Amino acid sequence: MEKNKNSSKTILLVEDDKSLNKIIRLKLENFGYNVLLAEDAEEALKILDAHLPDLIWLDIYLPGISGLELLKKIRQNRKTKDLKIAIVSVSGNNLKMEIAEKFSVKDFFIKSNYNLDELIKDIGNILNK
Amino acid sequence: MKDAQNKKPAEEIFFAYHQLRTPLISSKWIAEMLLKGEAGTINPEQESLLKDLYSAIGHANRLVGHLLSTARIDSGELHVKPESVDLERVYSDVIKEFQPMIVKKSHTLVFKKPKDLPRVNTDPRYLQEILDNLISNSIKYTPDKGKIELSINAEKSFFLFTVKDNGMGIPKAQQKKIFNKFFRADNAVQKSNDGTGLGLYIVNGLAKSLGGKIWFESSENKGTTFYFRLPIKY
Repeated sequence: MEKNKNSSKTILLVEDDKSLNKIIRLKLENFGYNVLLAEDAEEALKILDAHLPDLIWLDIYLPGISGLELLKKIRQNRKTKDLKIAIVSVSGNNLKMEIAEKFSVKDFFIKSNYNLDELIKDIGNILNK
Repeated sequence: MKDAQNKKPAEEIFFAYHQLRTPLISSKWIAEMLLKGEAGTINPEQESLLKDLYSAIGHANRLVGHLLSTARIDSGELHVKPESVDLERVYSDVIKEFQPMIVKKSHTLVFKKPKDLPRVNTDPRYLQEILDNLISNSIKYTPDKGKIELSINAEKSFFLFTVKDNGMGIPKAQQKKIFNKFFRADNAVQKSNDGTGLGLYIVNGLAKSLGGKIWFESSENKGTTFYFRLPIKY
């Protein structure tokens, strides 16, 4: 049922760790979401040029252009500035969170605090807001 | 991942812990999937081994989390961010988090608070981390069927939080060292080998950073009460 409810929603998953992005993608798809995957910020920007997802699942630590720089670029682009974004990070770095709040992101998740099912359910709640 | 060149020493430590955490989280989530049978049916022996693996990953995760908090305290990188906090909500989250452990050990949990609890101006993440550590210790170091009592008293300019148990207590000769980094009391080491020796060091560091104070009373084999005084306004 949950799967059907989510089937029209697309999440752009921006996560560089291959092991993590594989398991998160698998789980999101099990929950019924369509998943677009980017392993770095440049790939994410290319995807955003062609598709507008319902939500961006953003890891803040990325190689090359950082997650925060990517966030800034998304907010500065008229086409993508209002997209829902959830920052999902390995640790709660306060300064980085403060910067993210300046870019209107209020949803932060610390990966180690969650099992993956709970995390996906909480992210689903953002989509339904 | 960014390279670690040109980072200041504290940043290098944060970077190293970040690097350690990523594979731990991925291992934890994979173990969860396997335990739920989402990658195929597992037999009882495999389930038992996976549970051991899951528990070991959990311990490693806690250790890395504690090392990260310790590094933040030691380097003065806590960056307290006060906001108006609803204590009912904080306690509800904490109690929900520990409910499975309380049920597993058949403890009784009592929570006493004033009818109308004012809000507090503090950093909710650090307040929660303090309560998490104190309550987790109480549950862990109290024999099954014990009693854990949480209370909040609102005074004019501060709150007094208490976490009381009827557990193993802290040996008198070791009480002075209890907030030291990596110190674990002898009876705690005998009881469990999964402590990090950092929980109370972190609690003390965080309490100070919030402008508060922490102390305790304890009798071996009778129990411990931790007190945490927190200013209403940071």
